[in-house]
This record gives sequence, C-alpha cells and structure tokens, in this order.
Amino acid sequence: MEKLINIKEMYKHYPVGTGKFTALKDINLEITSGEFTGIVGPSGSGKTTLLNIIGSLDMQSEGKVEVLGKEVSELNHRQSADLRSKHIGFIFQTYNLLPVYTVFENVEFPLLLLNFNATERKKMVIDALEWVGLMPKIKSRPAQLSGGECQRVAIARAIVKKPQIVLADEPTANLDAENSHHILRTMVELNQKLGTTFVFSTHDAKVINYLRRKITLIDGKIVSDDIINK
Amino acid sequence: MILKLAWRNIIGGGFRTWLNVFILSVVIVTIIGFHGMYTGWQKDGENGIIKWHIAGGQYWQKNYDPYDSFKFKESRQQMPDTVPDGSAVEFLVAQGVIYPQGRAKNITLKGVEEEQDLLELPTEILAYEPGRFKLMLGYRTARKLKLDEGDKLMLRWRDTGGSFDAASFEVVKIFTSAVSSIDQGLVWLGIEQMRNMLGCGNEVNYFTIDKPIGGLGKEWVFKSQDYLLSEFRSLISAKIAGGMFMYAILLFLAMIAVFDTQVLALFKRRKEVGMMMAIGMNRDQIIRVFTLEGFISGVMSIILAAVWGTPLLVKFQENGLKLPEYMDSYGVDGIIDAMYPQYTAGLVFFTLIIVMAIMLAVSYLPVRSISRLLPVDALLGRMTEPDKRKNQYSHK
Repeated sequence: MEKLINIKEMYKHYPVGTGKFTALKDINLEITSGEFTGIVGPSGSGKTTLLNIIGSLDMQSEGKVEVLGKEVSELNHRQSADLRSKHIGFIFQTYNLLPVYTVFENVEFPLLLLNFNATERKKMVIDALEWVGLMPKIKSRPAQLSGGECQRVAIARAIVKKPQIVLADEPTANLDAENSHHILRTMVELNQKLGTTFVFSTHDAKVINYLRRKITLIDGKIVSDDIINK
Repeated sequence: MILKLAWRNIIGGGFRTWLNVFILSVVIVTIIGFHGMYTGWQKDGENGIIKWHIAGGQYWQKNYDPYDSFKFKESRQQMPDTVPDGSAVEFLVAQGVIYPQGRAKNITLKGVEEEQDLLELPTEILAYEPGRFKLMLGYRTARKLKLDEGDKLMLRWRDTGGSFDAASFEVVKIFTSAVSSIDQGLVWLGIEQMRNMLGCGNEVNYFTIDKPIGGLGKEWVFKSQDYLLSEFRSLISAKIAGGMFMYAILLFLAMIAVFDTQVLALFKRRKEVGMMMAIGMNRDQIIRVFTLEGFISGVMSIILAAVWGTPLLVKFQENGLKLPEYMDSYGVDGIIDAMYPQYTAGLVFFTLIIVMAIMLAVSYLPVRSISRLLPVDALLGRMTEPDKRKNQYSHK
C-alpha cells in the first residue's frame, strides 16, 4: 500500500505569553492509501491541530511531516495550495460553505481551481451530488439547507475532485444520529468505490463504529493505534 | 476562473452589493456634476471676457493701471498709427461722478470706439450725436442704481485741464453680459463723446486687438489673453480648491461604500478566505478574486451612473443651476442668473480613474493582508500578527 502520510517526531507548540503551550508531542504516524482512519480523543487533545498540519493548513514546530512524499514545512504557499487543491479534500465541522453560492457552485468551486472545462465540471458535480443524494437541492443556497444537507454538500465538495486524501474534522458534530449515519455510510461507500483515504478527527461514538483504524490522542500524545477488524 | 468567482461573489452579495454600487454611482454623478459646474463657469467666464472685452489681447499704455484711477490721466496717449483699421477697439478711461436719484456715486467712465465688430459690446448705440449725451450701463449697475433705458441722470467729470464739467446723460442701453468686470462700477460712453468731454484729442488708455501686432515701441505694453484672464482663473482656482473639500467628502463617501463592501465584508469573510485557502486557492488567486470584485463593483457603478446620471447631467446642463439674485452683487465673471455646467471628456475620465483607483486600492490592501493569514487562522476567523506568525508558519 502506498504511504500517503508519514509523520515523525512531530511537535506543535503555540506561544502563550512569554512561554509556549505544546499541543502535539512526539507524534509518529503513518497512513497508507485506502485507509478509513479516525483520530479520536477528548476535546483539546490536539486532533484538529494534527489534521490541520496534515492538510498543510498549519505547520509543525518540530519534526517531519510528509504528505504524498512532500515535506509540508518545505512547501511555499503556492506549492502548499497546490497540494491541497489537487490531492486533499477537507470536511469541516462547521461545513464552511460559501453562503452566496448555490449547492452546485459550492461543489464546483474546487474544479474551477483545477481548470476543468464546463462540461467536465457539470458532470463531476452531478456525480458528487448524486453520491450524497442532494440533486434535488442543486440550486439551493446553504441558508436554505438543513445541517445534514450542508454537511453533505461539504462532503460532495471534498470528494468531487476525487482527492487521494479526505480530512474530516468532526464531520458529525452538528448532526443528528440519522444524518450522521447517512453521511458515514456515504463516506464508507466512497472509500470503497474510489479508494479515497479518509482521516477523521472525532470523539463521536457513531463515527468510531465505522472506523477501520482508531488512533487515540490524549493531551497531544498518541496513546494507542488500533486496527479494527470488521 | 477568477472572473467567474469574483462575479459570483458580487451577485451573491445581493442587496448590499447593489446598495454600494448605487452609492458609488451617486458619488460619481455628483463629482462630475459638481466639477462640471466649475468647468462651465470657467469656460463661460473666459469666453465672455474674450468676446466682450479682451478679444486677442490688449495693448496698455505703459503707465496704465486699471486699479489706479489717479493714473488714468497720465496713461493716455495718441492711438498708434500703425494699428490697422478694424483690427482694434479703442478705450479711454476716466473717473467721474453720477447722481442717480440725487445720490452721488463715484464711477469709472469708459469711452469705447463706437464702430467696431471685434467685441460683443453693443457700442454702435453710443455713436456720437452732437448735443445728445448718451451712456450705456451693464444690467448689474443699472439694477443697483435703479435705472432703466430712457432714464436721465447727471454725470460730472474733470477734463484734461482740471476743470469740472457736468451734463445730463440719457441711459440709451442696458446690456446683459456674464462679464461682471465690464459692468460693475462702470459707465460706458462713446469714445468720441468722451474725447470731447475731456478735451484729449485722439488719445486712448488701452486698446483691444484681434491678434498681437508688432512695432508699437515701448510706450505700449502687450497684455496677452492669458495675462488678462489670470485674475479670473485665480478666482476659479480658489473656488475649485474650496470645492476640493466637497470632493473629499464625496470621495470619503465612496470609500465608505467600498470599505463596507470590501474591507468590512472581507474581515467578515475571513472564514470564507480560509475555506478558499483550504480548498486550494493560493494567495495570488485570492487577492485577484477580491480585487476583481472591487473592480467589477466600480465598473457596475460607472454603468449605473451612466444610466441614471447622463440624462440628469444633460438636463442640468440645459437648465443650469439657478442662482439667487444677490449673486449679481458678488461681481463674479461668468455668471448671469445661472451656472451652466460643462462636462469635458477629461473631467469624466479623471473622475472615473479616481473612483476606480480608490476601488482597487481599498479592495487590494485588506485582502493582501488577509491572504497572508495562516489558512487555519482565517478559517477560525482570527488574525495573526505577522511577527507571531513567523514563529509558527513557514509557508514562504
């Protein structure tokens, strides 16, 4: 299996007054293609920070973080944006949809950055919306959607370009049980169909039940890394 | 792609976008209308002064000073023979006193060549008729003195020998001109009549010509159009400088509109910028999208300004800005009862350039700063100071 993420002896410090707070300590982690992995742990354990560093939205303070063979701390802002644009899809807890865009336009956005032509874009957006079951809402704006629907749009936006990695930060935190299961089933299906690697940060038991690998983080340190046989 | 995204953002902005576009269009139309008034005033004033008094320039007797009435007498000289007939209009200047309704009022007497077609002054009416004393007034002076055509009034003057003389004159003409400087405080007489009164032969203080001529010697000093218009132009410049305050307010309004659209909205839209970064837009693309948004807003404002502003400004140009009656007493050239704006291509172009430059600047500067945020900070809607950021983030 291809090694997509390789983290060695990684630390993340934040300046606090004249001192510093260490959010992540001595992280060593490898994630290979096709995984359906969750980083679990209580609030403040550093899950989101780890996910942000993997996604090159943030930068480690010490150690090495390689994503798709590239050391993220050595990328300039263009290379970093390029990595995110081509290979990584993000799903956020708060959806982060563009409020003035329709569902179609939100999902189309990553494809515009990748310079797909209009016909290709339309087909890919429709495919993605069919996967998440949102075709009837294609012309709606985020304000007209429920929380579950918004999150499904965010998933469609993350997977529309068929990235190698999808990073999902507490994707079910704002959803009810039914919507959560629906979304998780969708992601499992996409993982199996497209071979997309999913990395979650979560402390939601519903999500944990779907994981095939569970990495437990407490106070910034990995305390366990378990493969779950289904 | 950038254009498409910028356009979507603009249209998606809905009412806020249109409100700001409208406010900007109001600013554009107001600046053009306001400045057009000054331009119109300046052009009307300059044209009036040229047509009514200075034509292609004037030759002044070397001692002539229009502001020193005590030198009028010593600045008279025989009209040079070398000036071709029909190319000049002669002027003779003296002090006098008039007695309208029994009141004494010092005025300047100006004798003007009666038969001329260089200037629009209706001088032919002053043609010499022995035994008849005729004078002409501008409408401002006539209104101030409460005189009408046909009225008679006593005029006293001093001849070249120093003797006082007086006669009853008839107001034969009240002319209307935008040029206040040929009206206020002046009484116009035929030059032949005036020479007889003063006993000064074929003398003049200055003469207006259609174009400069040479060989007049040191006794005559040429005053170009530019020189003769400089006083009026200074006045306009001073007014325009005062008007700059108004421009500043208008531009400030424009900036507030853009500030609201771009700056405040951008700070509100930090999460949006963060999301764009997360999806894979780089700094340059983000800057281009938001700057283009500002540019498109500017273009939309210009189009909207053209749609509703053009008929309004044209109407304004046709009807002018009516001024209150007391404005006459200000003695300002270029205005009769209304100011008629004129809009030059340069004025419109300059205004649009200024507005667009402001739009681009206030769109570009905040987004440049936001685009340098850590994506994660932008997503969380917080700002990171650059010096702190260096410690955390090294995406060059």
